[in-house]
Order: sequence, then C-alpha cells, then structure tokens
Amino acid sequence: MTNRSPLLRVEQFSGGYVEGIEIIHDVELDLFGDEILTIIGPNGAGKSTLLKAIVGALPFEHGRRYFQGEDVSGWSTPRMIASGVGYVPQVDNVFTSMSIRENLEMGGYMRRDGLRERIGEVLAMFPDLEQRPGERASRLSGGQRQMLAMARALMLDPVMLCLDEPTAALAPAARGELLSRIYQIHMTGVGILMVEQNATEALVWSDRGLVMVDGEKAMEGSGREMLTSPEVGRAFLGQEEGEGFTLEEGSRQ
Amino acid sequence: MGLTLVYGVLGVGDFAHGDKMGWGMFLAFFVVSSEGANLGFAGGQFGSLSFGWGLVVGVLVAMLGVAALSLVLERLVFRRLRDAGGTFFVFAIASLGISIGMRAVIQLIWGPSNFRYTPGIHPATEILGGIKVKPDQFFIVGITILAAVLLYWLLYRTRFGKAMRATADNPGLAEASGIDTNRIRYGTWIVGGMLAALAGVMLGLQAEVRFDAGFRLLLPLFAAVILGGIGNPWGALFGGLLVGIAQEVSTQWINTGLKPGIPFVIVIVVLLLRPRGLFGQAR
Ligand SMILES: Nc1ncnc2c1ncn2[C@@H]1O[C@H](COP(=O)(O)OP(=O)(O)O)[C@@H](O)[C@H]1O
Ligand SMILES: [Mg+2]
Repeated sequence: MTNRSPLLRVEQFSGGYVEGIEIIHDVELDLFGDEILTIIGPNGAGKSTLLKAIVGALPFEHGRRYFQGEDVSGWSTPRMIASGVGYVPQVDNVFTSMSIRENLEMGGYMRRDGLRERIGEVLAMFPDLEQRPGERASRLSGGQRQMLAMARALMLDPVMLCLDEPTAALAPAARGELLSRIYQIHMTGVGILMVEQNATEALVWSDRGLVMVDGEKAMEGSGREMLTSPEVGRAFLGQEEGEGFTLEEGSRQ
Repeated sequence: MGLTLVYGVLGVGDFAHGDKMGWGMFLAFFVVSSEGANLGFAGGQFGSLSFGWGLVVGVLVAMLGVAALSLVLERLVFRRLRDAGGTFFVFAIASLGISIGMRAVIQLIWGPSNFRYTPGIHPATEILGGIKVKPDQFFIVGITILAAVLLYWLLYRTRFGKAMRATADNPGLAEASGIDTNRIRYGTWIVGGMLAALAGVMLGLQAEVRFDAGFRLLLPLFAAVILGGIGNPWGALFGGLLVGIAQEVSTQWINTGLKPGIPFVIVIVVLLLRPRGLFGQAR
C-alpha cells in the first residue's frame, strides 16, 4: 500500500457562496480509490459546502483540487461528473416529477451508448426500484428516494461517489441497510467520500474519518481511531465520559 | 403553452410572451403583405381556407425570427441577470420592459392600424346546432392540437425534452447529472419563441393583425397558465380552452365590456379551491 496516488486531492482549499464570506477555510484532504472516507462534524460546520466545492458546484473557491492526478480546480459540475465523479446532494436529490426510469435516464444523460443496459444493471442493484421503474419519484419512501438518488449517481460508472448524509432521513433499521449497500458499491471499485450525522454507524463502515468544525479540518484518523477517541466520542458520537466504543461492536461483519 | 414551458423550465414569468406573439403575427404579415409579395411569397389559397403558401412561409419565418429574438434576449439579458443572482421579480420587470420595447417597435414599423392576412370576407359554414365556424378555425384548432402533441412528444419522449423537464424540476441536480443547463435554457427559449410565433399567427388569422393583439392576450394567457398548473403544458392548453369558452359564454349574461375580467374571476375561484391549479400536483 505504498506509493499510491490519491483519487482526489484537495489542497489549501477555501470557498463559499458569496465572495468575501468564506465558509470553508484551508482544508486539506486526500481520498484513495480503495477507501471510504467519512466527514463528521456539527451542523453548519461546512460539510455540505465542502462536498459541493469538490464537485464544482460552489460559486467561488480558492486553492487546488486534483482528480485522478489532473488539476481540476475551477471545473464545472457537468465537467466533474463527466470525468467520473458521482454526487448525491443532501436534499432535493431526485427529480420528483419524473419516474424512476427517467431519473436514471437523466443520470445517464452524458452516456454515448449502453444507456438501457446500464439502467438494467443499476436497477438490479436496488430491488425496491426494479419492481416499479415507472413510479414517480415523489411517491417513493425516504429510503427508496435515497436509493434512487444513489442509483442516479451511479449511471455514469463513477470512480468516486460523494454522498451527503445518505442516512439522514432514514429509520435506524434502514440506515444499516443503506450503509451496507454503499459498502457493496465501494467493493466494485468506487472511492466513497461521505458526510454523515449518524457518525457511529457510518464510521463503522469507514476506513478513515475526518472531523470538520467551523469550516476547518479539526481532526483526521482511521475509522477505528475516530470511534475509540474519547474527544470524538464525547463531541460527536453522543457518548458519556468513560463510555468508550469497543472494537467488537465496531467491526464490520 | 410556450409561456408555461418558459416559466416552468426557466423560472421566468415572461411578460414579453404576448409581444413575441405580436412579432410572430407581424413577421408573417410582412411575408404575406405587399412588401412580401414583392419578394414573391404571397398569393394563392388552399381550398376554402383564406390563405395559401404565403402564410405557410410566413409562419416559418415568424417562428425562426421569434426564436432567434428569444435567444438574443436570453444571451443579452436573462443570462446576465441569472449570473448576477437576479430574483424572480427582477426577471419579471426585465421582461416587462422588453415587452414594451417590442411593442413600440411594431408600432413604429407598421403603425397602430389593424390588418388582415387576406383581405375580403370569408364565409362561415354552419355546423351542428346553428353554430357557425369558418374553415380557418378548423385549421387553427388542428394546428393547436398538433402543436400540443408535438410538445408532449418532445417533453416526454426525447432526451432533450426530458432534460428540459429535469432542469425545470431541479436545476442543481440537472447539473449534477451532467446536463448543460445553459444549453437547455437556449433550447427552451427556441421552443417557447416558436410556439409564441405560431400562436401569434393563428391569432392574427382568427382575429386581426394589430400591434397590441399579443399583449392584450397576455393576461388571459397567464390566467390559463395558472389555471392549468404552472409548468404543465396540457394544463395550459385546457386552461386556455376554459378561459376562452368562459369569456365567450359569459357575454350572454354580462356586459361585453366586462369580458376581460372573466379570466381573473376564474383564476381567483380556482386558486381559492386548488392553490396549485386544476392539475397541479403536490410535491
Ligand atoms: N446556499 C447557501 N448560501 C449561503 N450560505 C450557505 C448556503 N448553504 C449553506 N450556507 C452556510 O454555510 C455554512 C455551512 O453550511 P453547510 O455546509 O450546509 O453545513 P453542514 O453541511 O456541515 O451542516 C452555514 O453557515 C450555512 O448557513
Ligand atoms: Mg449538510
């Protein structure tokens, strides 16, 4: 595992919505293709803003971002998407007025060929969606919408998937199911960068974790380090003093 | 229909839509009138219809012209406003200004008088129940249905049309799907402009060619769009029929001078009962 080059590299990165009002400050971040990296942190810390910046959806940015070794600073969202990045926003992440199939067609808008085949493959990953591809997205449950949002982002065979709080709207039972689905997608060779509020559950599945506070990177470490770190536990995982997280609970299978 | 499309996809309440109809009307008039005749376009009639190839060429010229005009306006005005973060209100005022300017230019060139595409009297034939219909009116209804079917086909069956709906639904997510929303916007202005021009010519054929005919129709048009549920082309067509019929039928009971008020009465009643329009769906 030496000499790997990262899928994504973000250097001295700052940005925001209005020039002059910086939301994220000087963030450094690497994501390798065989990793799940989870960003946690309090509400308003700038986690969503960072993901938007990475996919080129922010009005202004300073600093550099590299994707697969190429300098992609300033690239627009469609260009990032075309080069192999999938992005699932935190909210409004499906076309509600369109059917499941149409949502997937839009996800595959840039495909030159094999649209039908890819829709078939992606639907096969999500049995709930496969049963009724003509259903309007507005009629789906929260969990199904989240599945559709991910399915849409997979249509172009991305090598990296940016997921903004995929389990936020879900019941606890559905969260585990979705996270394991994300893990399965990861195992097909997709680097995963995700933001999560349900930090404990997400970190269990993650190779690395990163804590963001007030637009800055406050801490970074392996998933285990995060889960067992007393500061992280107290501040973000809802643990009481002295109540550590044991590795058995935290192991994957 | 063009208006609801532009509104739905672009989020612009295009107050200039009526005057785009006006421009379509006059561009076609230019082609069929004496100026156009010198260019060799005018003349002829199809069967019992009041017009011939001249108007067909006129419609095409009008559609291309208004579509081009809409594109120029998007590039010069709306895109800049959008990039500067303009609100809905800013777009509305801008399009209102454009509307006034466009009407003034028509008036400068052709003056305030009324024209007809083909002078003369065109007899109406009687159909069931003593209602008289002119052959031209059958033609207009046919064209309208054809335009609606084509629009439906575009929006629901083609890749570009679906991308238009996606952009209307959620522009940010459209970008995140790799859709170049600027191109979609240009396409929408083209289609919206062509529909406006077509509607303008049909209006000129049905009534008369007059500098403010399109503008006068703008308010009932917005009423139809609101009735049908904003951004819903079928709803707009149905809303248009409803407003039109209500206006005509109402003159049996009320003073003709009050006719322009009817669309608003309907809109207020419908919005009180169904705030999203007759066919609007909850999100
Ligand atoms: N579209 C926006 N325009 C302006 N400010 C925004 C926008 N979205 C978020 N913000 C601001 O950016 C900061 C970080 O927000 P966000 O990235 O959504 O935080 P998080 O995802 O960590 O909860 C907040 O102060 C928020 O008010
Ligand atoms: Mg967020």
